[in-house]
Amino acid sequence: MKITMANPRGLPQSKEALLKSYTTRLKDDVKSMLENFEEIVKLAKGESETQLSKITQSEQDTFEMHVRAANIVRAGESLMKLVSDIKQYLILNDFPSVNEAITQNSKLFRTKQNECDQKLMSLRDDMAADLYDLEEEYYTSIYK
Amino acid sequence: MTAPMEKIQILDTIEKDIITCLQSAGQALMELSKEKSSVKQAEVQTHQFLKTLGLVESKLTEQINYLTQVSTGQPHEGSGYASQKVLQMAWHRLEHARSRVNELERIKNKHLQGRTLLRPQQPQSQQMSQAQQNGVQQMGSSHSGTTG
Repeated sequence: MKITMANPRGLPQSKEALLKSYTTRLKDDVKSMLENFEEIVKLAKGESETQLSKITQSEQDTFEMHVRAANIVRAGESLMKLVSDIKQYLILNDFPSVNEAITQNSKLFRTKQNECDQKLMSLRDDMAADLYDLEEEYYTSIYK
Repeated sequence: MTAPMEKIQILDTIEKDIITCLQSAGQALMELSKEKSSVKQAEVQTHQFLKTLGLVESKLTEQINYLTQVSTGQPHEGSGYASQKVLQMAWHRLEHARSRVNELERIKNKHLQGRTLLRPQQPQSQQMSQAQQNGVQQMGSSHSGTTG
């Protein structure tokens, strides 16, 4: 009985090897899902002619179906893991996006900083004007 | 260029597609296992399964190809810390100015309180002295009245 399974994943070091392993995993998992589904449908026909008794044959078919169904689910889970790995890779190594995010943040920070400084400047001007008036008042008063 | 979040969202939809794919496969087999299986329904589900599987494969291949194009062996060295530090310093300046202005207000309030405490005493003492003077005058006048 040939049951297609994806290769167990290793831990490649270089980026190219990692991306290549992603492609391999994707192809293997998709192939695994497709073949297992086809095999289940073929088994459902129940036309295999063997020397086994009917009960044994049906038991074997049931078992094979279970294994193949489990394989489909495993392949689906592996694809989900692949998507998760790609997400992680995308966050860490997608240079254009990282650059864009950094530029946006820098721009935002600089705008905020300019706002702060402008507010401080306006406060300084107001206080200087008030202080001027207060000085005038003080020097012309009897408390001097 | 697509925004960073857009790529993650595309991957999210791929995840949903994988789930749909597995569900379709399950539904198709479920349909076949029924006593009175509907061939049409089974076919529809199987087509859905095959279609979604093809879609998942093509989308994921596209994503992996994009990653192959954009990624290099080097780690990214850019950072937004410089501008972040500048902003933080601006905040500190602002906070310092705020604390000084608060201090000024506190001093102003203290002085105002001092004046309000002083002020009521002056009018009271003036009133008291006036009342005393009036009393003396009244007493004097009454005294003069009795004598007269």
